Amino acid sequence: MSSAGPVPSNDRPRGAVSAAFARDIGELESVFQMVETFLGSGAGSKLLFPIQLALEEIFTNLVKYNAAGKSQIRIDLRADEGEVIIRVTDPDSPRFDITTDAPQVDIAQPLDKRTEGGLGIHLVKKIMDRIEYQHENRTSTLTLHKRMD
Amino acid sequence: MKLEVRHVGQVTVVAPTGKLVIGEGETLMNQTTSRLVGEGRVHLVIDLDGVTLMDSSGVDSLVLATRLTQENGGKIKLVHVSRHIYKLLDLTGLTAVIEICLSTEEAISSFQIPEKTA
Repeated sequence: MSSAGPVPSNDRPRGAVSAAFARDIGELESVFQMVETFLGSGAGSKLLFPIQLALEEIFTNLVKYNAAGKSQIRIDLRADEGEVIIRVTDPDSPRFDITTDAPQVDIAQPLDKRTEGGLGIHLVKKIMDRIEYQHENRTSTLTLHKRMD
Repeated sequence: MKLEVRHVGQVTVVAPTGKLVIGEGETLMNQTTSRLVGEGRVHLVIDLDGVTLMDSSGVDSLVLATRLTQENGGKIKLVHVSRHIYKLLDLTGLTAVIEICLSTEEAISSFQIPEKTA
């Protein structure tokens, strides 16, 4: 289990990394590896679980729901002013703003009454501190912010 | 993801190791719980000690295990739930419907299984 509490300032992730991935669930291991490399093995690793989870859910959604997209999916990770900023760019994609267009999930429903879908986006919205969405020239850009403290 | 299964009396301990996420991990977990329930093994302890990441598909696999066991007179109990996974379960409403125990031994002994009649 990761330790609780803020990430010490001298052991936080720094800089930025970027990579593009084929539209394939099989690319997830490479996505996970990118996050691990960026966060390092220091105290920044407390962010590993939430950031890998958020990226996995977003990447999977793009693969499943924009399967016809021909471009690669670009991921940028950056540390800035006490936050990790995660940007996911999908060229040639329809508009889908997860902050407003995703189905609502009622977690109070009994298990046999729950409808499928929306759980992953629900989790992303809960575990990230801030989410921004842009859609211009058929390019979707989702920016997730996760505080280090 | 790897998965170990061991039987302790009428209880079965299922221990996944690695990432319980969409794809291979979710499929292996679902196939295993479906097979166990099909064999009449409906009292399951799921040991999450070795799970390094879980996503909504992993959560769905726990929901499936819960439903399958309950429909057949059993239930699942979770052990070794990390802080991150507990938060995930809480955010999806599962902490209200799935029992979480501190140890495998406690989970096994807390099952109240009716004696089998000859």
